Amino acid sequence: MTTAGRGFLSRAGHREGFWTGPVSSARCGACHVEHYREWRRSFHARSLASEDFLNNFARYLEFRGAPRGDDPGVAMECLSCHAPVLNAAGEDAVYRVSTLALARDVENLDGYEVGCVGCHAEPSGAFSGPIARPQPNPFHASEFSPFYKEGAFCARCHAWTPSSIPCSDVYSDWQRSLAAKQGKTCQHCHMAERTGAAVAGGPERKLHSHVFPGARSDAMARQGVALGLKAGFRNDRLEVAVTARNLTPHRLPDG
Amino acid sequence: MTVADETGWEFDTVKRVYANFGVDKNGRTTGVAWEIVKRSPASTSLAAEETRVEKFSFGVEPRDARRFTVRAAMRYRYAPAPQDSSAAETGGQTMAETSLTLPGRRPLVR
Repeated sequence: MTTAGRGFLSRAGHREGFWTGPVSSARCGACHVEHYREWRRSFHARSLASEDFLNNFARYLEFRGAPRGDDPGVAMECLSCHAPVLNAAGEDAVYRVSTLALARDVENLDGYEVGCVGCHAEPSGAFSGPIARPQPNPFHASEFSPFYKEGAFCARCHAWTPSSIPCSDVYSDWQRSLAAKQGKTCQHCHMAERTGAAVAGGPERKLHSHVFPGARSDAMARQGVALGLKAGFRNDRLEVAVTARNLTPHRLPDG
Repeated sequence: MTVADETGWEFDTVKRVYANFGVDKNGRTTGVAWEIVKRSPASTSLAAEETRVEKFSFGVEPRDARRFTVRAAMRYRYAPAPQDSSAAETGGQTMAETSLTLPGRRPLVR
């Protein structure tokens, strides 16, 4: 499962000292202030820290007969999504993250979660995004990638392939949906668009929310379903029909 | 789904659970994600863009109240609800609610 030898964690960044280990998203937040604030509220930011993950990770390793996290292949069945930077890291890094997660040492997992690097870092060392003409900056090279606007980008974790664990399988539903035919992607609902500066003092851009709201968001939950109600007496019984309309292009609930 | 009279007295409450299940390697239905090898027809989750009609029949007669209120609500719950989720305390995230009233025939008490 792991790609030992590619060595993300030991790879020097193209600016000396920028990458010397797991990069905390807080570091990106020094310039990308709003994106960082939004992301901090998201469940992506808690991909390694939520009670749900910590409990289930331990249970899964036990189920697979590797309760101490010493089988990187087994651990990566969870961590390939929950700690995506490990997909390009060595087995020692996978073991370190597994051990920290089992010890619930959440503080030291900072930088491994679904953060800036996990989604935006390219193997070249550049950071990519959906901004067509990124500004040069002294911290990292920037590249444009239209892939960030596609549902397939989210499918890396929110789809079920036979060898993976079906924690989330919304992508295959979406592919068959009317929304997909109409060109509405995951980002359309889960990354609301606005205008603003991508970095402090930068030019005005079309930006996308990094809160990634789902069913934990009251506003998002209320957009997911419409209920209709009919009732009347028949033969001295109250007969009721409730119409539940799933307004989303994926199953409800997911996972 | 709840049916109540004009005082708020609840005659009945009925729940439907929409959830995902899978089939494990031995063909058994399971809700544990990592045991699942394929989706199960036992799943009751709403499919993408599905409209589902649920019918309920209550043993309540018109003479049981002067006015009936029928309420339907859908809540999103995690199974198990994570301890760090507000939904764990509130019994779930409300997705939709609706209600209607029906006149009854209970006589006025003098």
